[in-house]
Amino acid sequence: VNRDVAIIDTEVSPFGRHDSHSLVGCAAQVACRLLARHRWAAGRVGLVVVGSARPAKSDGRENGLAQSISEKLGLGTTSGLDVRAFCASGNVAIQAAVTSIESGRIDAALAIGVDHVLGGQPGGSLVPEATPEAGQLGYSPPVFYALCADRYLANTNLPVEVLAAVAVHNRAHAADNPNAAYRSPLTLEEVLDSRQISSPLTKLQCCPSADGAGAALIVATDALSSDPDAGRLLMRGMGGASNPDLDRSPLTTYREDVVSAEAAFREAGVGPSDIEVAEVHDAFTISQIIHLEDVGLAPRGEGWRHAAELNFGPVVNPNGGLLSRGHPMGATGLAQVDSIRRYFAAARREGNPRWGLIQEAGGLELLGQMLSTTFVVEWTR
Amino acid sequence: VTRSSAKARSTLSALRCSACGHTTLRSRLACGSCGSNDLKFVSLTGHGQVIAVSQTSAAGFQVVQLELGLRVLVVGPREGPAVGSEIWIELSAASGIYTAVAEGPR
Repeated sequence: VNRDVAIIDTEVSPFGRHDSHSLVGCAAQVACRLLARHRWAAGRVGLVVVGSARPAKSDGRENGLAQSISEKLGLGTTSGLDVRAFCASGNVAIQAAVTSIESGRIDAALAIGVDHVLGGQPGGSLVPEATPEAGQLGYSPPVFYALCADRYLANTNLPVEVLAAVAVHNRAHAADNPNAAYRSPLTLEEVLDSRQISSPLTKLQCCPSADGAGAALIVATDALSSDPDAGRLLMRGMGGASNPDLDRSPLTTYREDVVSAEAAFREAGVGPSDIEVAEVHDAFTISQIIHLEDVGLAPRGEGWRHAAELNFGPVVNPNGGLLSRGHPMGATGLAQVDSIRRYFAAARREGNPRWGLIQEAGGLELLGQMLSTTFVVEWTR
Repeated sequence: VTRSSAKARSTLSALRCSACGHTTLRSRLACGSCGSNDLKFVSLTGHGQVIAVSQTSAAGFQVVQLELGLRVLVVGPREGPAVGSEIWIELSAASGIYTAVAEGPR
């Protein structure tokens, strides 16, 4: 079966601390608001996929998130699938939903992402999932990306200000995003003077944890019966890759990013120069820089220029990125798709084709990420 | 350990693929390069150079480049060895703990 698949609408909760809702309740509320706009679709949803990175630690839920959320939404006997893929849990949930529709087994799916790390039961600080021994010695995601930053700055002879510029740039984009945890503008000085977390990364160069949820309604275009004039994101290319060589990490590039992006572009039949807007995983300032280079949106050694210069390359992280939105891990992929959809829907300029890219990485081993995903999407009305 | 004893005994166990020669310090059942199951333990000299450093409030971290392009993470005190320092790593048979000894600027 070869059919076009479209993300026709998205919904995202405010990101921050959610004490009054459970993980399931937070996700169900967001999905309910989404389905309320598309009542025709509720009866056609054949699969609910829920991406969540830490449901067991926050809410004591090992299994059955999709079934519990479906039940709250009144989706009856609809099949459910839970996904755990670290920070990319939401992206992999979308991937699973799209693949199921492409196969012809179902016509519509609901992809949901959620995490509840602040308002849930305290789960302790994040440590590399596969290396708890190193975590006990203080090794954590900021340390790995700080080592990457140190190597990057040494290789390029650039100053630390290029890192800080990413935080300033992304925060400026968050001003118009009511769901972002942090929206007030930053200066380079504020970023560099904030508390050191792991040199050279300071606090404002590390994304904040958050609770939150997002949802996307995904349908086969041949089954589409929504407003034909409404815009939609056609999924034109998807890539996913694991890290093949964790003891050879170059630190300034991630092979899984490169492989994943190449696969997505190949499937879409377009290249990096066609991309108008991109969401990339800015868990740390340096990670945005390296991911942009890895997916081909900047030459090597120039991934910092999007943030430091006007009109360099595509628009990046248009509603603030993880650095401003906060990072409820499972929900981040849905927030990225929501950001791209809103960007195109709000843009006054028209013209075809209009392409976007969504990249997310996840998991941490001693010297590398564990996986990367890339979507290449086309906006159409 | 003393610096001289670390230098003398700095060896690490690695897995080398008999088919393609790919070597890794990680526990594997098949070669990450060619997929062969024919992997054999070999000894590597645990000597390398610090290529990246970071410091938290509690500890210092270094990435060390060994031979064959292999890299390891070293965790130590704050103000640990700087980029460019030489490091010798050995496994203590008694404790099972790897020890790193550095020589160079802090």
